[in-house]
Order: sequence, then structure tokens, then C-alpha cells
Amino acid sequence: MPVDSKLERFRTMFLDECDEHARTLERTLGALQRGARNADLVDDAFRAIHSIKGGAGMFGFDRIVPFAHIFETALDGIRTGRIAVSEELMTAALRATDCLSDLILAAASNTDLAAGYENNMIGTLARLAGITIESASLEPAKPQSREPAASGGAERWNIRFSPHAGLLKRANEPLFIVRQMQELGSLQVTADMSALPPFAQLQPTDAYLGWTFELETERGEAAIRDIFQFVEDDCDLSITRREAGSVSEDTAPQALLQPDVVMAEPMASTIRVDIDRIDRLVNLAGEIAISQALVAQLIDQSLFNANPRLFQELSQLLTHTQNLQDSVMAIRAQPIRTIFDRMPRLVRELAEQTNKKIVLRTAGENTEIDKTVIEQLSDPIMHMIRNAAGHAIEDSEERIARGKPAEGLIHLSAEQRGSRIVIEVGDDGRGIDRERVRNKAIAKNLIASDAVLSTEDIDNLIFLPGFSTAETVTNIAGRGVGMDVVKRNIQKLGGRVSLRSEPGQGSTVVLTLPLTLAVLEGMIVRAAGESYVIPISSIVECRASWQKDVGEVAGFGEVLKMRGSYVSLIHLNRVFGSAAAAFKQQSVAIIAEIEGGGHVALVVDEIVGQQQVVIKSITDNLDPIVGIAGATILGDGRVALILDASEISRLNGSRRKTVQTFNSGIDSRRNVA
Amino acid sequence: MIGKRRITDYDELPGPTPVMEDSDVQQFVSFMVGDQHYCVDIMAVREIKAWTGTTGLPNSQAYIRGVINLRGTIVPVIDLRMRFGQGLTEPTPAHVVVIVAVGEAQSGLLVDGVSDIVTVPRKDIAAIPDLEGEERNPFFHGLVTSQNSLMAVIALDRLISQRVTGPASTSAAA
Repeated sequence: MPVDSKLERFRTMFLDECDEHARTLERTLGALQRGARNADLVDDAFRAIHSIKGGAGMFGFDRIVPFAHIFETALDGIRTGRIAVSEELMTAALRATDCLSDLILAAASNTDLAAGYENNMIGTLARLAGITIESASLEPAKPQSREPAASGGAERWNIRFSPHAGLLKRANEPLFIVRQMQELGSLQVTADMSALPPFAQLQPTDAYLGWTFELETERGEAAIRDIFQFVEDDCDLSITRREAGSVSEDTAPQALLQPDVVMAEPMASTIRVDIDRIDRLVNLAGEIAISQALVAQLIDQSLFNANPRLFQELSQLLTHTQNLQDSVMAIRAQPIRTIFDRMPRLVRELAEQTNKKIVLRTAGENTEIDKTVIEQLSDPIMHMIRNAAGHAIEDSEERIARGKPAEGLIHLSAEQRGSRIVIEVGDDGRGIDRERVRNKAIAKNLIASDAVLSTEDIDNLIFLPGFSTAETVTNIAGRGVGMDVVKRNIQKLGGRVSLRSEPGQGSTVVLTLPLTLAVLEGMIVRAAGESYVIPISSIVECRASWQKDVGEVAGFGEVLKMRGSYVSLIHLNRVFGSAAAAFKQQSVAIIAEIEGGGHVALVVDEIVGQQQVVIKSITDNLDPIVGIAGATILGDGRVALILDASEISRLNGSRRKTVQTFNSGIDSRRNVA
Repeated sequence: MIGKRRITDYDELPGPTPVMEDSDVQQFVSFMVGDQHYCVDIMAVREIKAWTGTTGLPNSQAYIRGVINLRGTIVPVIDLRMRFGQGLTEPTPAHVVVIVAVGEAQSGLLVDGVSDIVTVPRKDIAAIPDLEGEERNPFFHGLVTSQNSLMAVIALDRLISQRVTGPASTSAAA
């Protein structure tokens, strides 16, 4: 039945939105709990809970409505200053948010939580907020109920604003006024153009238009007057309150379409689109770029000479295609906030389960990153936070004994560095106990008992499959499927994981991820009879006459002298082709940055050019290949592989190194070689 | 009740010759490598392309001839001759790449030529006989006979998996 399926769709949409609202609550209440005192935060929280309540009423989620109502009342109390914000109250409010999320989840999956599941929470919140729960308010509100409480005491105002002719000359902008009023509540504007003169007499610097606003707001007359503060002397202004009854009549049809006042509030205009559709778009944009490059190659220079416009139009097309690709990619970018906002709850629950005091500090939530990456990041980050809370952070007594603050700290940050996103998950806990890790690895036969390992090597042992130092397996962490899974997942995304740890001071796991999984600026080179792409972002310089600067270091191989320092030199022909590959006169050494800040010189036969390439996964149909980050399709339709300089350098190094027992285990990539 | 009645009626009919239904037969695409015939389930075949060259993959198994661009997707091409331990194919434009799908993954099989589509009754698909002293080829899961030629049915999932090694794997290169 079409009506039902439509309703079903709206219902799903609403539940999706609820998820977002819950995260807003999480964020705003969290900030308040940490001591921020900002009216906007309270307003945001109020709006979120209000939207949840409104929608829940409309779709008949009877358990959410009364809960949300109490919650809303409490927030309204804070908003109006009736209730003071306290940490205790905010903690309860956050717990209530968790509980509300559960209710929403239950509603979404059509399951029923145990009766009275939420009562405890309601009670606590109500007690702290000083609200008496009337039995009436616990009853589900009628979907269409429009009693004043539902709209939070909104009032309707009639505002007549007629600027004097000179208003604009004093640098006033009526549009700003309209926008500001929009922020107060739902607004309807009617323009009065009666004063507009015929075009010939129009003075462009004079103001002729007047407006009548119908505003529904909870903020009162003073807030409205504030907006007009700067134009008061340059206009006729009248602000009158309208009778509630008469208004609801003339907006009644609309009210049915918009179940709640809040929905009319200005919010970022967004649509939800199936990710498959976007992916198809991304693919198509990539294909267009390729086809266009093909066409450009096929057009002969003589054709260009015969028809100069052809060149012009083709360049135009090039620009458009480029823009199209950029725009399509931008659709896929999302702030990492969507993940970060879920973490406070996790930390709260972990702190409770482990009886530790833990604070979560986040930074860089607005860093934008490809949607696919975001989706894959949630689990690894959650896992690392579990690890930090479960293992790393000591309980309060131990921390105090060690001279640390009683509260453990987990920090989570994201930032863009060049074409990569760096995410750090750190703690100020006990750090990695290298001796224990080492012994454990020996006991588990992961390394030889006499292996000589650097501290870094030891730290990296925790990324080995099957490694877990937790002495007891808890439900928080320590199932032995830990960090190796994190590492594998991040690698699958073209990212890297590294760890730094200071005994007694804590450890930090650093995830480095590509900004987007779809496009990169690449240098096309030839080596071993094939075309390869080296990401421009990793290239430091290219040297044509490099041969004179080459030296040989015993046991290390060839090195290239580079402004006083030496970098190891790798012949792509030898790594990728046969060892006896012909030595080309015009070969070029490309110096590329590798992970960890070092450099490597890659010798290629020639540089073909530079272009944006669409990254294609090779692992969809194939096992990963060491040294290859992905593939792309060049203008001629052929596949070219994208090189990973860091991996090639490691590959080269590990080939030369004498075999070390732990090496094959540590570098899991070698297993897939 | 009515349904049951009918079944009884049917049972009482004088033994009719069973009609061969769709589920009783299986269709295969057959092709040649050297003078040997092989075949794969037709449902796995996506398309058949002429050989136009591949982009070589460094540090990979010798039987993977490289990758091709199949309308925007990167698809590896497996040299069947090499996979079966009989050396590399010298491909010419007359050689053929059969694109097959195993689950979500697509692969191309480089063969000498495609011969036919054969329809075989399921009951006629024979098991591979265990040959004394002979190394068993892990890539076949049956034998069928059509038009007097014997063909091995390829087990695509094992053929494509890089973890399954073939007979007398001569992976000297890479």
C-alpha cells in the first residue's frame, strides 16, 4: 500500500534524524557537563529533544514521548534559568540520552525494551531538575496535540517593518534582519512593494520595500526588538502579539504538514541519498574524465589548427569535468564528528564498568573525510578506546600513587595533514610494558627468545595476530583479536597504524588515512616496461642527473647523496622487473617521502607526465600486492598501478636484511606477498 | 485436501516418461588450453573478450598475467596454462579472456579459444577419478563428456584463490 510505505519511509527518516539529534544531545550536554556555560548549547540540546518528542508523537512511539517530555521540561528549565546547571544534573542528562538512544533503537528495530526500563532514568532526571512528574505527562501525547507546552510556550508576533528611504545608506541590510528573525523561530514574510517607484525614478541607494513578518517564537518581545536595534531610527517599526487561536486557524493546513514547530526552523538543508547512487556518480565522473582524455588524445593537432574553437571548447570541457569530479568527491566527505560523537557514551560506560574515572577529550571533530573511510573507522576507534580504558588507564588509587591526576584521560583527535588525515587515540595510562610484551611474544612463539628488538619493534608486537596482554579476558577488551584487526582494517583503507608509548606516561596510536579513496594527483612514470603512478603528495623532488651522487654502502646497498644526507636508492626496474633490466640513459631518480619522515629515491626509466587519477581498488578482485596502493585507468584505457613508496622501501629493505625470525611475523604484509 | 487428491491422481497415472527439467541439466562454457578441453558453469561467465594485453603486476604469482580495465573495474587475468603448471601462454589477438565471477570478485581466464556451450545432464557429471601416483589437480571438481570430448569442470573458487597452489607450480618468475 503506497500510503503505508510512504509513512514507513518517513518513519525511517525520522529515526535516522533521531540518531543525529541524540548525537547533538550527547555533544551539547557533554560540553555543559565539562563546564561550558553557553546558551547556544542549551538551545541546541533543547531543539534536539524537542524534535525527537515531536516526531515520536507523530509516529506513535509511545514510550519515547513521555520520556522526551520530561527531558525537554528539564532542558527548558535550564534554558529559562529556572534550573541551575550542575555536573550532577548533566551527568544524569547524559545517561538519559543513552537511555533515550536505546528507546529509539528499540523503536527502530521494532523490539520492546523491558517495561519500566526508562523509569529509573526519568525519576533521577526529574528529581535533579526539580520536576514533579504528573501522571498525565507520562501518558503518550496525542500526535496532533498542539497545546502550548508542546511548542514550548511559543508566541506569535506580528511585526511591521517599514524602512525609511535612508536606511541602506547607513550600511544596514534588511536581509540580515530577516535571517536573524528566522533564527528565533518560524517566520513568514510578506513584502510590501507599494512604495516602489517606476524604474526610471528608482534611486538605487534608497530603500523602498517594507515587510510584514509573522513570527512564532518562544523568545519574547525583547529578543525581537534586539534585532532591530541598529535600524530603529531609520524605520517605522511595530511589534504586536497575536492571539494564539486566530493564528492556528489560518495556518492549520500547514500545521498538519509540519507536525512540529521545530521542523520549520532553519536547519542545514540536506537530503539523504543512498551511498550507492553517489558511488555510481563518482565512478561515472571518473569514466567521463577518462573518455575525455581519450578524445583529446585522438584529436589531431591539425584539427586544432583548422578549428581553433575546438581547442577552446575542449579546455572548457576539461575544466567542467574537473569541477564535476571535485563536486562529486565533496558529496562523499563528511565530518568525522559522526564517529567522535558516539565515543563519549562508550567512555562513560567503560568508566562505569571498570570503576575508573575517565575523561574523554576530543579535537578536530570537523575534519572532513571520505564517507567510506568514516564507516570503516568506527570499529577500530572504539576498539582502541576500549583498550585504553580496559588496560592502559590505571584505577584512581594507582594513579594517585604514581603522582598522576585521579582521572584518566583518553584523547581522540583528527587533523588533516596534506593529503592525509591523521587520527590519534591516546591515553595517559601506564604505557606499554615492554618487558611483559616481549615475554608474552616469546611465550606465544611470535618471536625467537634471543631476538634483538628495538623498543619500537617491541611496541609493534601488539599488532601481531593473536597477541593480547590482558591477563584476564574481560568483556571490555582482551579477546586477542585486538590490534591486529585494527591494523588490518586501517590498511584496507590505504592507511597506516603506528604506536608511540612512554612507560608510565601513556601511549598513543596514530592512524594515518588517505583523505579520499577516490582521486589523487599522480606522476606517471615508466619502469620495467609498464606505466606506474606515484602520488605527487609523496614526491619531494625529481633528479635527472643522479648517477654522479650514488654511493654503495656495504650491507645496505646503493644510496643517493641528497644535500648532505643519504637516502637509499631503489631501482624500480630491479624491484618490479628482472634484475637485468636495461639501464636507461634518461632515467630519473624520484625522491619520495616515506612513512616516519624518511626519504627514498626511486629510479624510473622516464617521467611521462602528471595528472589526476581516479583510484581504483585492486583488492576487489585480487589479494593485496606489496608496494602497490591501488590502480588507475590512464587516458588510453590501460591500467596503471599506483605505487606506495613506503612499502617499496620496506620491501627493498627486508629483502636485503638478513633473515630475522620476528621479521616475517611483524610485517604482516609479507604474508600476502 | 484438494492438493492431496491431485497428487494421488498423478501417482495413479501409468508411469510417464520423466520430462527433463531445467534443474536436471547444467550448462557450461567450454574452452581449450592446448589440446585439452575445460569448462566452467555458464552462470559464472560474465563475458568473453579478445586478448588485448594486460598491465603486469609486480611481485605476484606467475600465473597472474596482470590486470585489465573492464569498464572501470580492475580485473586480474589468470593464465590457465600457467595455473595448470604447463608454462606461460604466448598470447596473440586470437587468444581469449573469459571473464568469470566468483561471489563479488571478477577474474579473467586467459585461454586459447572458446569452443562451445554444452548442456549436460547433472547425473552425467562424473567425479574426478583418483589416479595412482598422480598428483591430483585441485582445480577440477568433475568431468563431463560432450561430443566425444572429455572436459574437466573447473572449480573457479579454488582456481582464483591465491592460497591454493596448483600442480607442479613453476612460479619461477616475479
